[in-house]
Order: sequence, then C-alpha cells, then structure tokens
Amino acid sequence: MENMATRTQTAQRPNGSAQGKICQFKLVLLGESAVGKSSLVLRFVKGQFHEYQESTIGAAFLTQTVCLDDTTVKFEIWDTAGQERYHSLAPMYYRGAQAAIVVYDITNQDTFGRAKTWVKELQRQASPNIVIALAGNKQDLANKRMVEFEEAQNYADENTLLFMETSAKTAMNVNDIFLAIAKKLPRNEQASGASASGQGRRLAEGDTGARAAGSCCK
Amino acid sequence: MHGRLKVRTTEEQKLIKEKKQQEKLKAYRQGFQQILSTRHEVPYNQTSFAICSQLLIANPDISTLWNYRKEVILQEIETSDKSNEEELGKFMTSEIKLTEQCLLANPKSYGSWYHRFWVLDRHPKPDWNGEFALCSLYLMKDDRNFHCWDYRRLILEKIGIDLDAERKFSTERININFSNYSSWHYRSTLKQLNQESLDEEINLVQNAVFTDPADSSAWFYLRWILSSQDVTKKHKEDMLCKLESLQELDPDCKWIYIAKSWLTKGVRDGNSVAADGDCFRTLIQIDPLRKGHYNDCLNNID
Amino acid sequence: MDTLPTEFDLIVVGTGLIESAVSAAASRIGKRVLHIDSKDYYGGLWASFNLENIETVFSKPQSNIHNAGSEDVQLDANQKKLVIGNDLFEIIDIEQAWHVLEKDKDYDSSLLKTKDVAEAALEVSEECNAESVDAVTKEVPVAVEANAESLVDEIQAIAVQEAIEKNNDVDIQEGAVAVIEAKENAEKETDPVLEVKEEFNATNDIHVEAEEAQIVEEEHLNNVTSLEVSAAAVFKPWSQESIMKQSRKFNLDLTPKVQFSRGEFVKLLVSSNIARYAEYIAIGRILTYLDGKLIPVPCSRSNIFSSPHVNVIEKRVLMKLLSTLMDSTDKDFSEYDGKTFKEYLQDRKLSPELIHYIVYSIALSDDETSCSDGVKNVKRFLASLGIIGQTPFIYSMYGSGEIPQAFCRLSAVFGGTYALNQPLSHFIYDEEHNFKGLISGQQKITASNLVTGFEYAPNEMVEKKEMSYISRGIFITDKSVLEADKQKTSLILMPSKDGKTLCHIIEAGHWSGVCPKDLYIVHMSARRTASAKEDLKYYVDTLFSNDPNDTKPNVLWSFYFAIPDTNDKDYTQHNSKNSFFCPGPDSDLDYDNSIQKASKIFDEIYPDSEFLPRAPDPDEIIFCDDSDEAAEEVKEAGAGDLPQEIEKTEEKQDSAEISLN
Repeated sequence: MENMATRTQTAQRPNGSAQGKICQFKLVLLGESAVGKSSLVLRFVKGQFHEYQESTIGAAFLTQTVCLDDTTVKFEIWDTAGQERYHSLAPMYYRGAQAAIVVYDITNQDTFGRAKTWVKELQRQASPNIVIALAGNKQDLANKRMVEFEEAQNYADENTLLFMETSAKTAMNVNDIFLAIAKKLPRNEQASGASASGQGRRLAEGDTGARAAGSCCK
Repeated sequence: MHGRLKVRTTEEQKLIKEKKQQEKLKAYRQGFQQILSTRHEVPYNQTSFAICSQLLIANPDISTLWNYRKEVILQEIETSDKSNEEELGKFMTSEIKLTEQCLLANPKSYGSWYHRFWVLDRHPKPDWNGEFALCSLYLMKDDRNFHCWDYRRLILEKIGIDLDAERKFSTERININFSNYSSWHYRSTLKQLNQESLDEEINLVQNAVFTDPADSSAWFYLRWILSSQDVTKKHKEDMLCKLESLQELDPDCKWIYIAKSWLTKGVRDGNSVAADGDCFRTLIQIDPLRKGHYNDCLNNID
Repeated sequence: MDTLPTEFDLIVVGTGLIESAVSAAASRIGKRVLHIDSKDYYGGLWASFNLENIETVFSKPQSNIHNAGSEDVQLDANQKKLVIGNDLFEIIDIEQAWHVLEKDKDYDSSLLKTKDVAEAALEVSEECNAESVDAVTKEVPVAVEANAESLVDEIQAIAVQEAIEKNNDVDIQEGAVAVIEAKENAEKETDPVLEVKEEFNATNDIHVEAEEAQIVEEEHLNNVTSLEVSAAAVFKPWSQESIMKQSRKFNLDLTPKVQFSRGEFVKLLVSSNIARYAEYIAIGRILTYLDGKLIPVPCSRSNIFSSPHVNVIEKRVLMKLLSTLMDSTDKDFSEYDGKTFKEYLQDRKLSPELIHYIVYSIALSDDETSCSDGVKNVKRFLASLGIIGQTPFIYSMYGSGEIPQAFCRLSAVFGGTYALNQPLSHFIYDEEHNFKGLISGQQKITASNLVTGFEYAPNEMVEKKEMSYISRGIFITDKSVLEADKQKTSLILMPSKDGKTLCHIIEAGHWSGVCPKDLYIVHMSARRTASAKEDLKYYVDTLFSNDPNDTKPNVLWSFYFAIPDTNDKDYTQHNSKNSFFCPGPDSDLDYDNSIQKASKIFDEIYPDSEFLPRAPDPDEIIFCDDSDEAAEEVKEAGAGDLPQEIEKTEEKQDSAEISLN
C-alpha cells in the first residue's frame, strides 16, 4: 500500500526536468499608426506602459516567452518601426511570420477599416497557416468608442481570427491575447521552423552551418 | 521623459552575468548538499530528485548524480507491478526526456548517453524504433559524435540490423565528410566484406586518400580492409601502383609510406625488403616524432 | 496621408541596395534620414515581383516623377530647380512571352497522357477506397459524347485527388469541399461536356490548393509517399490561367544575386545584426556544362571526394592546386602579369576538364580573366566553403528583393522616415552646386546631403556616355535542369561558346519561396552584346527544350530585358560636394562590390563614423521610466560614459516627427 502511494505520487509529479521543448515563432504587429502596437508589446514584454511612448528606436524586435504545458513558446515580436506611417511597410516584415496581431483603436473607425485591409493582405500574402489575432486596443477609452464590440467580433468570426479588446494602459487582455495565440500555434517540431517552408535559415555570428536556425527543440 | 530606450553596455552585461554566475554556483552547492544528505531515504526524497534534474541539466558530467537517479529508478521498478506499469512507463519516459536536455547541454556527456540506454533498457515499453530514427537524425546533424554512433549499435542490437541500410547510411555520412573516424569505424563494424564489396570499399578509401592523403581517418580504414582474408595479391599490387602515383604528387606524405609498408608486409621478397628499409628511413626523416617506432620496424625487417 | 517632415540631415532617393545601405548606416549613427522613392515598391532595380506585377512594372511609366504643384514651391533667390531623372538611364529589350496555352480547357484531350493518367488513377483507386471513383466512372459516360474517354480520365483525376485527401487525413478545406461539389455536378450533368469541363477547370486550382495543404502537412504524411507519386502522374499541363492564379507565390528578381557565405557582404550583415531580418537557403550545387552534359562541379572537399566525374589522380591534382592557390601570395604569380588565369592552369598541365571546372566555376572567370583576378576569385570561393551546405553560396529566401528591404528596416528601426510612392519632381541646388533639398508634390524638403540612385540623377549632372547593359532572362520552367534526389537550388556557370563570357544562371524551386510547387524559376544574366534575347539564346537552347517528353525542362513563360550597368564607367558630372549618386546593379554574382560602394559614399559624408556598427540584441535593450533612473542604473553598473544610444535618444526628443504609435 505504501508502495502504491509512492508510485502514484511519482507519476503525478514531474521529475524536475525543465520544460520539454522550446518553440520559437515570429509574430508581427500590424495596424495604423498610433493605435498602440508598440504599447501592447511593451506591456507584454516589460509590463510597462507610457502615456507618450516614443517610437521604438533601436528595438528591432523583442522576445518574450510563454509557458504552455510542457512547451515554452518563445515569441520573436517584430514592430513596424514606423514604416507603415507613409504606407511604406516592407513586405519582408511579415514574411515567414507564424502569427500576427492586427491592431486597431476602438475610438477610431478608420483604424478598424485599415485593420481589415491588413487582414486581407495577410490572408493573401503571408504563410497560409498564419495565426491572426485582431486586437481592439484602447479599451480603457470605451466611453469614446467608435467601433462596436459586436461588429469586430462578427468580422473576426467570419475570418476565423482570434479577437479581443485590449488595453495596453490597464493591461487588460494583453497577456491573454498572446497566450491565446500561443495556444493556437502548432507546437510540433515541423511547424515551428522560422519560415513557412521550413527551409530558410538565419545567419548568426560564428555560424558553422551545422544547424538550421529557427528550428524547434533546441 | 518616459518610455525611452537604452542599450546596456557590455560592462553592464558583464556585471549582470557575473552576479548571476555567483548565484548559480551557490544554488548548485546547496542542491548537491541536499541530495547527498537524503540519498538513502526510502521512499526517495522527491525534492532531492527534482533538484538532481536541475543540477544535471546544468552539468551532466557528475556520475554521483546519475548514480543517485539509478538507485531511485531501481527502487521504483522494484516497488511496481503490472497494475501500475503505465505510471512506471511515464516515469521512465520523463527520465529519457531529461537525458535529452542534458545532451543538448553537452552532446558528449558519457553519463547522459549511458543513462539514456540504461533507462530505455528497463522501460516497460521501450520505443527502440523511435529511438533509432532519432539517432539517425542526430547523426545527420552531428556525424562526428562517436557516442551516438556507439549508441546506434546498441539500439541495433535490440531491433536487429539491416546491413544494407546501415552501409548506405554510413556511405552518406562519409560522402558528406570523410574526415570522420566514427563513420569509418562504424563501417568497419558492419563486417560484410566479400569479393564484391571489397572492390567498392577499396574504391571508396582510394577516393578519400587521394582527395586528402594527410587525413588519417581513411588510412585506418584501409588498414582494416587489408586485414580481410579476401584481399588478394592483385588487390595489393593495384593498390601499391596507385600509391606510387599518389606519392609522385605528394612525396612528403608519411601515410603513403606507412600504407606501402602495410601492403608489402608478409609478401616480402628481396626487393621489397630494400624498399621497406627505404620507406622507414624516409619516415624517420619526415615524421621524426615517431622515430623510435620506425627504427623498431627497421630492425624487424632485418 | 500625413505630410512629410521638411527637415533632415540626409535625403536618400531610391531604395536600391546601395541607397538602402547608406540610409541604414546614417540612421544607425543617429542622423535624421528621409528615405523616399517614387515607386510603390522597395528595391528599385534590385526588387523582386510577383508574376502579375512584373508584367506591368516596365510598362508603367517608370516613376512617379511629375511637376504637379511644384510651381507653388518657393525657392530662395540663389536657388534653382533641376528636374529629377535623366535620359541616359533606360531599361531596354523588354520582351515577355507565354509558352503555354491560355486556359486549361484549351488543351486538347490528346495532349494529356491519357494512358498514364488512367493507370495512375487505377493504381490509386486500388489503394484507396475505390467506391467514389467507381461511382463517377459509371455515371459519367452516359452524359458524355465524343470526349468521353478523356473526361473519364479527368474525373478520375478529381476523384483520385479526393481519395488522396481522405487518406491523408487532411482537414477538409475549402478546396476539398469544392472538389466534392464539382464531382457531384459532374455526376448530375446530363448535357454538354463543355460545362463539365468548365467545372474541371474550376477544380484545377483547388487541386493546387489541396497540394499546399499537403506541403504544410508533408512531414506528417510519410506514409502516403506512394500516393503522392501517383498524384504527380495525374498532373495536367500548365496553362497561363493556372500559373497566373498563383501569381503571388512568385518572387521574380530583377537582379538575382547569390552571396558568399563568408564574403564581405555577409560578414557585414552579421556584424551589423541586419542578417536577422533575412532568411537564407544554401545554394545546393554548382553545375557547369561540359561535353554536352550538365555536371555538378566538384568544388568542396567532400564533392571532390565523392564526384564520379574526376578520377583519383584528378582528385589529388585538384585538391593540391586549390590549396596552393589558397596559400599563395601575389608574388607567386609575378611571371603571369598580363597573362590569363587559364594560361596559368594550362602551364600546370591540368586536364581540360579540370581547367573547365576551375576557370568557369571555382574562379567564376572566363578565358580572358587575368591570372591575378582568377586567383583572387578562387581564394574568395574557397574561403566561403564549408560554412553552409556544399557550396560557398547562399541565396536569400523569397528572392533577392528582400535584401534592400532588410537595410531599410534597420534604417527605420533607428528612426529613418520611409515614404514610397511619392511624387518627386525637382532637386534644389544653390549657385555653388550645393544640394539644398527636393520638391515632392507641393512640399519642399531640405537636407544637408543627398544620396540618390543613378536613375533619379538630373540630366544636367550626368555625362552622356555609351551605356553598357546586362542582358537578363527570367524563365518559368516545369522541371529542374538536372533532377536531383533532394531539393537543390542551383547555380549554373556556363561559359559562352567562345569562352569569352560567363553566363550566371540561378535555378530555384518552391522551397526558396520564389515560385509555386512543381515549377522552377531560372534566372540568366550575361553581359549584353547584341540584345537580351540573342545574348541568352545559346544558353536557353542548351538547357531547355520545347518537347514535353524531353528530359530537359520546358519553358512556360519567358521574360527578357536589359538593365543599364552604371558601374563600369563614371557617369557623374557635377561639382556638388553634398550629392552622391549610387550606381545600380553590377554584373557580379554577389553584392561585395556594391556594399563597398555604399560604404565609400557613407565615409565621404560621415568620415568619422563607423559604417553599420552592430545593432543591439533584444536582451540588451532596456526601457527606463525617466532619465535619472537611467543615469543611476548606468552608474550602478559601473559604466563610465553614457552609451551612445542615450545621447541619440535625447537628440530625438527635440524632433517632433516621431510617430507615437
């Protein structure tokens, strides 16, 4: 009987080894200027919010990990670096991205229209199995709301997008939206290569060519 | 002045790193103490067991820790029966996962490779075929890890060997990089030399020594080939002839002299004795580090 | 759209590689950069296009250069306007053609390998659940008249596809559903074959879509290999329609380049941290044409070891020569001053085959290349071997057009302002030839320096000389020039018949992100002597065939053009100390020379600054709440001076033009 007890305990308890595998994904943010893309990232990665956030100079991309079951999901988050301002976002930006958050400002109907354009562009041009989330940001300003929750929800449902209203300022739904994306991403070995085809590799200092970058289960 | 970015300097990063290092070391020592003080508890101390995993991931080369794990596993096996086989399986599988993480930290850790096999061998439902596939994948990424080549042999003992497939696999590895003792050696363990394959092997090894006569790995394989009973006089003559032409191109390569002495061994006539003498005398010149050995060889001829 | 800020340190016009590299380098050291382009895409002559766009790229007016509104811009008394753009720069020899029929249904049933299709269908139907196939084949012949036989085959093909999908356990997607619908329609159809056939056309791209699903799931589906092979036999001939439907899967380079994996360019990409924006694939093999055959060139140690095309003696001779050249110094070749590299090799008594491999492939040379250049090239080649894959070269995933974009991204990340599709009309100069600014629409934008692509240089500032051109051909083909056991991106180095020039050919497949599955893209580049099409005719005739049954690839679509090579001569003619013209693409295989030119321009403008120092990694970036804290943190960490980035950020505070997104 005593043995049985030990046995059961062991099975329930992990043996103390760390997370089983690490999957890395490229996630891009899209949306009109000033809808709060960088603020969402900053809230998610650093837990900070600044009312007058400066543009993201020098921050090529940030990384943050999310733990799910036995998997560590590492997001490599790309910011637009302001290139969208004069409608000059380079297509390279969303190449090979496995996830995208399309952000609009719930107090500005135009930004919602622009978000739809981005969704369309992603559906046409990005990897076929990209996970797209729609974020209605600035939920803290709901009293100035111009985009109805239901309208966005319906649009998201029609296009099978994840959808949440978020607030980088109050942190509402910020972690949740990233977590929801992490859950939806394929966490098997093959699907987590850096590129859609799984063929591409990144170059790094001292690259010996022995391993392809971006591959899972390092 | 909010929300500005700044970049850590290398000094800052170094300091942060050093501080972390110190903390790690302290934690490591504490963990080790905890394990040693609870090592012989029955049933085993789960906290210690979990700490042990963390320590091994940090440094998988401590055999005391692996031994502790084995003691615990044996305890678990002893106390389990058919009714909880599944749970035991899960427990063992998590051990295998642990070795995976350790091997990522150090791919040449003896303890991790051994533990992996030791656990699989005691696993209620070992997946040898899956392990074999994993092994092939591993060797494609790192074909010079002799641990993995050895491991492959151990697995094949369990699932049965397909000689042709293994020869093909080894040829592929050699084609990608022939400066690889492990894959040549593995090839020699496949032991399937006959008249037909002998020609193929000789051809393969010739390609290697002609491409790079300074690389020793293929010469050792040649030496192994020559030990085969199927090697005829003609084989040796042909080879000698090839080596002569190689020597014209690379007069200073010691391996050619050494290989020639292998070829003439046992079939000596007056001429070859003289030739062998010259051979070793040249070797003393071009490879003075092994002077004693060559002198010894010279004495043996006379 | 927002109006642009009007004051900058540097205006960069055009987003070609050299312009983009200078832009990135200037932003990197904290300069305020406006990077502007009249076109609505990045890269200029270095861009890549999808199939639909490339057809129109040269037919549209070449830029957005016009005068509207520029009259209203007030200039200072001593300033003058120069119209942007010149007559010297022109893309010529443009010729685009399809070599397949327009629509699927234009294919006569006799063109299909009816027997093969039927056999394949049968084979699969035996393996799969055969019911659906039977159901269709029993029904349809009743409805069909003359073309009954071929129609059955086609419908079988649909059913086969469906069966494969079922077997693959792929989720039933839009495509698969449509296949079933189409099949049902086919069953119900009582009247004309034509309608059924149209249904089939509709299903053709579904067939392709379903295949995509397979690519995605490929790794999980090892068990269905035999079915996939059978499916390939069912594949219909391509039509313009079926290719155009996948237009967006193409990334066709205007300027295809490979990169030496340890060349100057790649070293810079890595050291500056720009490399992380791009993905690469290895060039898997180098091919050359020798004795009427395409042969993989034994170039690396392992290639030489395993190549059946060189005997053991040649293996040794080749290895020895390569290591001699690698360890050589200029002095070793003093007696070959004024002689060719080929002569040097001939004097070494090498076999003609080895000379062929070395001159045309390893030395990337032709019969007239000087000995010193040949040796230099061999060294460069060998230095990049063994880094990634079996050759010294890598190719950028999704095409060469990604490369300028990577530089632009770095520029933007460090505060560069990006504006494409801008109406550019004039540059503004003062009497001392100093660049003062430019006119875009009704805006006057000023800056201390101008860096511009050569195509934007005003007529007054370029010297009229005869222009040299690079002949280019882009081909979509249906198979590889040389089938391989693995997917391999190939570099084919083919000397002209007389050996006087070398044609650079790159063949890439879907895995490089440049075209859909089952198609290949072939790029040819050579010096222009007659016209693009004539210059490339020999290579096209040698590598391709018109016969569908030939083992050589068929060309499905071809596109010829010639672009000016503004590198050979100096076309600039001005005394402006703050204007810099960037040449366009050169005829080299790689970017090393181009990046050197960018670095030179940067040094002239900012002589005391480093060209593209390393950008910080994500873990080095910290966000701080206020300046005191930042200073404190630095102090605490024991660092002396404030890092450069802090100063830079403070400088930025004064500029109101930073977006608050």
